[in-house]
Amino acid sequence: MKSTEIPSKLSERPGQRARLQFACLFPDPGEYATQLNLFPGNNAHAPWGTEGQFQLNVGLYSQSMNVGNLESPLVDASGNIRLQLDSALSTGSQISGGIALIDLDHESTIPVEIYLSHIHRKSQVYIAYPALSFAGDQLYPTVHTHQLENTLFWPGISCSKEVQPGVVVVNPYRSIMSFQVHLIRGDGSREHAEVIQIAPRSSGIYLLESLFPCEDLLASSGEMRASLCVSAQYKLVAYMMLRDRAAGVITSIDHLHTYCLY
Amino acid sequence: MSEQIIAKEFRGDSMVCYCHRQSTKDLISVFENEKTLEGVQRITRAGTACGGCRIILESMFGQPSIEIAKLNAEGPAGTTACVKPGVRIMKSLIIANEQLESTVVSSNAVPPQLLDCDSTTAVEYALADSEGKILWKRNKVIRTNETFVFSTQEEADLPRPFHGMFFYSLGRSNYGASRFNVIWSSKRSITSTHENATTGRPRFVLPLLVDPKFLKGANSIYLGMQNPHGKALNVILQIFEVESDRKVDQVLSIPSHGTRWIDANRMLYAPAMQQLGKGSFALRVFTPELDTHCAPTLYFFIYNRTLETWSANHM
Repeated sequence: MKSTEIPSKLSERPGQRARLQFACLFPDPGEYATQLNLFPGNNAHAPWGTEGQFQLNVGLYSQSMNVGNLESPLVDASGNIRLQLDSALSTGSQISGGIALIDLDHESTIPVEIYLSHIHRKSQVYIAYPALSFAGDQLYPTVHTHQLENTLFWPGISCSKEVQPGVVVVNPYRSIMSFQVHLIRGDGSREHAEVIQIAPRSSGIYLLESLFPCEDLLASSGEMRASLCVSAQYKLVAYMMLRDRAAGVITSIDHLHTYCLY
Repeated sequence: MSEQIIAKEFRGDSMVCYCHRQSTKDLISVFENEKTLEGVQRITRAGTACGGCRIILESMFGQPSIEIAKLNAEGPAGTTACVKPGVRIMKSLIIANEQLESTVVSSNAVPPQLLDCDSTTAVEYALADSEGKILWKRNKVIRTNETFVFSTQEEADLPRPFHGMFFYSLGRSNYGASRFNVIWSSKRSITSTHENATTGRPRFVLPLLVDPKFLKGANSIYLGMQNPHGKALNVILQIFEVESDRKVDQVLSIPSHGTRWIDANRMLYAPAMQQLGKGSFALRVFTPELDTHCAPTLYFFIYNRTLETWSANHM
């Protein structure tokens, strides 16, 4: 399976070009404006390098269907790329959200990260967070499994009468994936939710109260605070989401991370 | 030997692989024994997650990067992506003021695939105030699957308002989780993100654009800026217009391990826009040395007055 679908527009300089692939949530555009904001010069300094070109291509998918595409202009390290994702949808589109798959082409050795923002149109609640990368369409079963790259972790679940936690799972691949969410209680005991299937190039928002007993989550404060683990066949992309119960608005998102890096 | 092979610009301690948190220093240390980039990658997993740093690794060692499909699934004994033996200190922002309280959570859970491994670990943790003065150090042994929690609400002696740095040090030789999250909570809202590594970016732009409409709107931006290094930093906070690069600079001095809490709407954006006029503005943060050893860390918070909610993340 090809991992590079759209040819890079960057100039030909062998050994000086790379592509990163990111996947993120694209919530209901009727409720939320979603923006990508990239300042590629963030890492333009020694030892990485100070010059280079950068470009983004974004594919929007809803229920596994490609519903829009966006292409950024080519910029250099002093530039800024801003993309309004809903501008890729056709007028009058009834899309209720989905995922964005982002190809970032960059020359030189300058590492780049992408931040995206969701702005709730009515309340103007504004959240910004880094998009999580994945290794492209190519799947490496042994490596993903044995090196635990298929296991993402979130220490410390937050849940209250005002705040409702959920996990966003994105399947950026062309294949159906399945995953399981595990609750690790503060006393070390574990609860495992049912295995969930997720369609190709789609996402799901899973409120933790629909997966685990609500009392467990509400009780998880102080020394008994619970943690969350998402395990899958391959490396999936997952985010922790907090929602204001009264308004039903997403108020915080951040990506899960691998278990232990040190 | 490595001195001859490794390109000289890569000698230092910059982060190379953000997925597996491998710095130039980490990688060179492994290269000393392994002698090949493939060997380095088998042990550190650098360049095997998102793949974004593979080109850097190739430039650094002058050798081709390993094909991910060829990676030995088992890896060397005692080393997987889950754990690399060693001592690390992680740091984060602690707030206890009229708006937010902080809770640090680190679960010592063993990943489900590893079943009943023993992950008992000793940790030392400490708290420094805004000037970098260590208020206390504590020790704890965390048993397998046990959760570590530190909450400012349990700290009756903590001076308030408090903005400071939390240190979490652990020596790891087994398979538990190591990272931690900080949860900041107000009366009706919660937000959370993970700890920061000690190396960072000496120049970055906050990914938020602010214009006069934003300033009159429902959101306020707050910044928690920290100096994770052993010497004082002078940090330039530069508000610039994105289209023209017209700019206004302010210098912020942060002592070693110090913290500064900034109401950015009031202290940065509004005065700069008064001087620069209309437009769309962003905040560039940098240290003149442009060296990763002089990189501040930055947590940003957005408070929405309509719903009284907070969202946070960091650079």
